Amino acid sequence: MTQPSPTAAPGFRPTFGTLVLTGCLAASHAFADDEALVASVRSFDESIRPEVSVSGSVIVGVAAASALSGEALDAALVNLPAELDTSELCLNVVSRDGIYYSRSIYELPAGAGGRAVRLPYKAGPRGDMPRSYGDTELALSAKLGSCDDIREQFLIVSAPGGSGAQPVRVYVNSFGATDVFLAGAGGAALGDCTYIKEGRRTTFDFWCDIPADAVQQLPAAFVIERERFGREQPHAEVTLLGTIPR
Amino acid sequence: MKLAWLSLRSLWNFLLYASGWAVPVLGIAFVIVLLVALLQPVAWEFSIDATSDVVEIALPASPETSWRVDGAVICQRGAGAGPSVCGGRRWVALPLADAREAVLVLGGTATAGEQSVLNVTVEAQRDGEVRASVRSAQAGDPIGWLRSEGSDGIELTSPLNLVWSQPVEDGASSRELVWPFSAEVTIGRDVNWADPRLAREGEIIVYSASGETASKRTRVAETSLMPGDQVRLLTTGAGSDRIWPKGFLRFDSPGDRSGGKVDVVAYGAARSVLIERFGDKGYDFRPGWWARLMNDNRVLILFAVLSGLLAFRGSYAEGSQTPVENWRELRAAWRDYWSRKE
Repeated sequence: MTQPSPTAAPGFRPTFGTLVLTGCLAASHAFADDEALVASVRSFDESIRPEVSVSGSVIVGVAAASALSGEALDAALVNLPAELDTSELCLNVVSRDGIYYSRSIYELPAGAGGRAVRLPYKAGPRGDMPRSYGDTELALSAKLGSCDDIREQFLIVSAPGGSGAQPVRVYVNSFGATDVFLAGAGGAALGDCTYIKEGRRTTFDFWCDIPADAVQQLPAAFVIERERFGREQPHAEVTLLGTIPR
Repeated sequence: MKLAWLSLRSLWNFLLYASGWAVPVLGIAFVIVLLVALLQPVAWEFSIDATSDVVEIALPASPETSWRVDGAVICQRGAGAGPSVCGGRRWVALPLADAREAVLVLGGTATAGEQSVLNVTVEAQRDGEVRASVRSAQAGDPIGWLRSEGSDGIELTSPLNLVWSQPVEDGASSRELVWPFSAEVTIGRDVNWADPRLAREGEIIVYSASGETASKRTRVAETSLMPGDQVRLLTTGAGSDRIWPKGFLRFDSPGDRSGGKVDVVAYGAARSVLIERFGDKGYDFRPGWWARLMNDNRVLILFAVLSGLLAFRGSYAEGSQTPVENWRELRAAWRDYWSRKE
């Protein structure tokens, strides 16, 4: 078999190699599109204290059905909206008994708009404690921008493994209400929220499940209505941002 | 005479010898009973007497529970005309004008299911107003009836609210209502700045069953509740063996606006009672190992017998004869006695 002339114009072999290389690059690019980016932790503040503090907010946590327990902290991620006006993200984690609380501030990587971003959870001195909480015991809430932003606009915290169509759970501090209801922005009733009867209910005592079909398009606004023995209490509005967790 | 004396002494020696064998046997039995007393789960009788702004009761739906609700405005879901005692637009008051001896009958509805529970919350306001809510798992579930004199009865569905907001004017203190129950009970609420209602004071006493006392129980331990504590008394057992705590609520608000409160007394069997306290993870209140031993008759009896036996042997066992030596001496004395007689 004769060797190809080195002076000949690039023939089969360089073209094949180029095709292979292009294919690999295309595959890796496609793979990178599906793989979540990772935000970097700017600060992590954790508190474990029996003297609990209760925030003044009715909305305590917003998470998809795949991210309800403490085990989800190791793989928590959010799906960001396409348009971002900040590179900062605040994640609050609080236990229902009020003993565990943490606040993490993340720096979003460049080009994160419209992408899934993983939020690595820094393990504090009591790293096992938050992970030991089960469903309905831990509330996660993620907001774009500063942690001091009082607007009730939340990203949906989720974890890999959940299906595309997941209900979204909102944990509510009812401030002594006997009934809590979930409604759409237009006032359409979406169902009654569930009162948590067991254990301590220091930071939240109700949970409301937003049906999966109500969060197919984001942003979406909802209203938390509260009543105390029939007497209406001030409503709380919550807006979900981002894109649907995949 | 000598023979009689020898017989008695033989018996005495035999007892001393037998006690030597009994000590290790009883000792082993004592250790076994001790371990059983320490390791076996014990269901103590807890008695709670407390005063609180808020009490939650989880009533089993299957047996009926009847409570007088004189003077209450009873509210159900419906298209309300606007603000009223019942609240806002979702609630309407049931027609109970001048109803006497109105009785709320909860539960007893087969459609609710054997395992279902009715959640009742009773709150007393500082201005004397008392409110109660009844909720089942699903809105619209039948939960009971409202019966009153001259009325066929009104079927009730969840959710239901009851409001006592007016002081009694007719002189009779119909606001002194007693609500007995057989249910799980939660006294007080977690302390937080958003809700001022909490448990005010109370006492928890632990009893053990005792056949020796007139009351058939012995007081083992007690503890006081602090303002802000949250205490639960839950069922024990499962299925058909499930045992529900019992007790009653009393509303001490006969129109006096110096401050309403709910008195609650509850009894139940449990291994422990969890007391959740502000600033603390809470603790299980239950008698310690010493109290368990001191209230176990088997341990006490065996200990007394063993102690007595050891004291007995310590005083008299030295120099005693073995049964063989006893027998030889007694046989020789009998032979000597009969030979002399012949």
